Amino acid sequence: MRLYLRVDLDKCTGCRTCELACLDAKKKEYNPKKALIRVTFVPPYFFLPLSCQFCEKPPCVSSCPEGALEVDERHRIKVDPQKCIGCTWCLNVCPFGAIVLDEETNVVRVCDLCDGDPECAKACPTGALELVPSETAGLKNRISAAQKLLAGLMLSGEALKEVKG
Amino acid sequence: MKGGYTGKMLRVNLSTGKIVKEGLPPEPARKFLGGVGLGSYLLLKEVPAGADPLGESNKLFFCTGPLTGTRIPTGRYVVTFKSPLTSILGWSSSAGHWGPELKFAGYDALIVEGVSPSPVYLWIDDDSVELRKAQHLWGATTGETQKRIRKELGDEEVRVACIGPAGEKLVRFASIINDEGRAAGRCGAGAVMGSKKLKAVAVRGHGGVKVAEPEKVSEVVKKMYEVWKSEPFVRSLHLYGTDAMTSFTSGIAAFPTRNFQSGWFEEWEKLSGPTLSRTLLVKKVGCFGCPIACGRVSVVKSGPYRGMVVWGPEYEHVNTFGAGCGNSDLETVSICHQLVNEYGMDGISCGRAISFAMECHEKGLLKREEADGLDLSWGNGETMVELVRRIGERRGIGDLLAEGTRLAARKLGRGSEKYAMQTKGLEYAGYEPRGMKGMALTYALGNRGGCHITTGMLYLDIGTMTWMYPLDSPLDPQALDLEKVKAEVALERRYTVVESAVLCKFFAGIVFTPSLMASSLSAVTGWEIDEGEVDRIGERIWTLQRLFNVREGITRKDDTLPERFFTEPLPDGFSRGQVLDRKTFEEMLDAYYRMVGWDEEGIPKEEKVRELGLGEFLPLR
Repeated sequence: MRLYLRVDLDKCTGCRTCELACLDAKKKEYNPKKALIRVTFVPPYFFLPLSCQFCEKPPCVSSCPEGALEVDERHRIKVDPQKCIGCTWCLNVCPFGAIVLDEETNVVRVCDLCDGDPECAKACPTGALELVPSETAGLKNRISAAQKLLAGLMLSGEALKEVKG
Repeated sequence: MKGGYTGKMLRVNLSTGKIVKEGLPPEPARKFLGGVGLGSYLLLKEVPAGADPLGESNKLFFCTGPLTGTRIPTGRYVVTFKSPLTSILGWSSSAGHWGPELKFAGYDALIVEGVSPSPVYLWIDDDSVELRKAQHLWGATTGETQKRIRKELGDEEVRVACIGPAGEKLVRFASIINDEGRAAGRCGAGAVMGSKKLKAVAVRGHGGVKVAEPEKVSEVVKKMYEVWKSEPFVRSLHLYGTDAMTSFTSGIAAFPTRNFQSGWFEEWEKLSGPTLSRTLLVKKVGCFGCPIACGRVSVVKSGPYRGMVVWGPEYEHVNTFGAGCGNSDLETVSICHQLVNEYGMDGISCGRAISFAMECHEKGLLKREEADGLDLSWGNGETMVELVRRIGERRGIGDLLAEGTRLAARKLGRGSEKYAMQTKGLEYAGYEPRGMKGMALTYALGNRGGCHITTGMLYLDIGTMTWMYPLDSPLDPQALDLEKVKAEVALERRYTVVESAVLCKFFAGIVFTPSLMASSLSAVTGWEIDEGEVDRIGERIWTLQRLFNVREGITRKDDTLPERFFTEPLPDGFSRGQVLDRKTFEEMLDAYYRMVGWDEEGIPKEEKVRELGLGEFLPLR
């Protein structure tokens, strides 16, 4: 079973509280560029928080020239600070731009989901972020799609007709 | 400095092109914090008496505060200047993400002086700062300007604060817009930028903000989260945006209608927050680190503007372009809202200028031919949209209205002055001072003129509350008494600290107690600040602002409201029959002056000025 951060695009307000919560947990300085989750504004009016997606075949791991990155049993990317030479090649290949170079130590950092209880999700004021297992990942989307479809029917009065026959 | 500040200021002289990085002076920072406090101090010190607001000697002080960019919401900046609309102290604040970004780039403040020979924009990329040509951007709307600068700089995350055509044309209430639709709206900061030929300030920062005591900051954050979730008014801001207010003010018939002829708008429900959420709303938007997310995005569904994406509308515009003009169509309000943002002007002053014209027409003071043939009947949406455009471009009748209601009335004459709804030149927001009598004090005494948000009186006057001034029981909105004067004094101080920290008045202004305010400041800066000192700092800044205004000629005679509020009782609804009593008002003014240590003419007494550590500004005149 894999866990990942589900983003509810309707709920995300782009307030970047997740970035700040991540910084609170991992660093004692408020510098959003060092946060392991970043919110991107997509015109005309969408916001998308992105962090490590825990790929099945992570390009960062396979392309590290020093073998400093590996996937642990819970699908998280582990960085070996002894092996990492700070070349930032993994930043280049990550399709989600989710890897950060720590300029003080010159070692790269990746989201570790705060040991299964991510601070970003806990802090999100609208509940737009949620840690979900892959098995149930689609469930919420299915339910919400079904509700929307049904709401349309209700409005047009067709559902009512169906019931009444 | 232990935390909260970067310790640096950026000074840009547009006349010479000289860019200097200066240290943040530590003593003023301790005494005035930042934001509007630091800005007012620098303004009084650096801008000479009687300076032309649109001339070379006026300056713009973009100040963040010690809390900007930290997790304590929300990252605002304040720009302070001498206002071209009021000729006194002008300040305007905006949220979004621009303020924190300036701080991440390494600066607590940006000072802009002089006048550029040709249009330019300022590009701040951490340490590297340059003035770039902006001839190709001159004339562009604010949305277009932000987009084009980001593209030009090859960085989609650059934060841009800019002016639109209204600022370039020196519309006296032109605004600065950042982060799509966040506005430093009031007092005409955009016109000052326009007069300096400064189209925009683009910022990108890669640094961070350190705090003195991270654990204490986390504690503060925990506490404020507990409060905000259980505070109904703040929750309604999340659910319905600032338009939530429409239901509150309409409930007590203090929703200014037809240029303040009434406080009761029969069709208010068509304009309310729940209606907005049901019809046009597509998205809620939050500023940096703010859990409320009162920001709205709406889409116009019909008519010639169908498909227009609107970053709003906000309550004040719902009032000024809605009930204020006798208009109940939320789409027209939304179109006007987006247009004032795109032109870059204050929708409160702009809306009041339009309702001023409509009332002048109704009273026969302004003929249709004189108004470019436009039909100025109440609620005519097409006319309103056209007038917004004409004001933004200073075209036809718009050229007169772009002067603001006070000056426009002076130019028009014919007794139209009594329909200019303003104090000290600044037009009122959406709160009727006859139905919410505390607002009469706030409007009359505001240091930037008829402003609604220099105190939290509006929350007390709608019968809800603010933790900034905890009360055992709600106040009577219709009472004008010593309780209100006491609230005015306490709140103007605390709200001035909020505006200097810099926090948001919807968040800190409602859910913070003075003690939480003190512990936030202490945790971030490492200074020992208690509740008493919060009030002291607020009093110091408030008095300093008054000193600036006194220097520019303000006295008791200016601390007043238009005749209408004293002579015309409200006609309808809950507030029916309410009117301000002149004698009571003057008595309250006396009481206020005594409480704050000013003389009968409203001039701060010398010993008060010294006691607050402002001796360097004596003698006053």
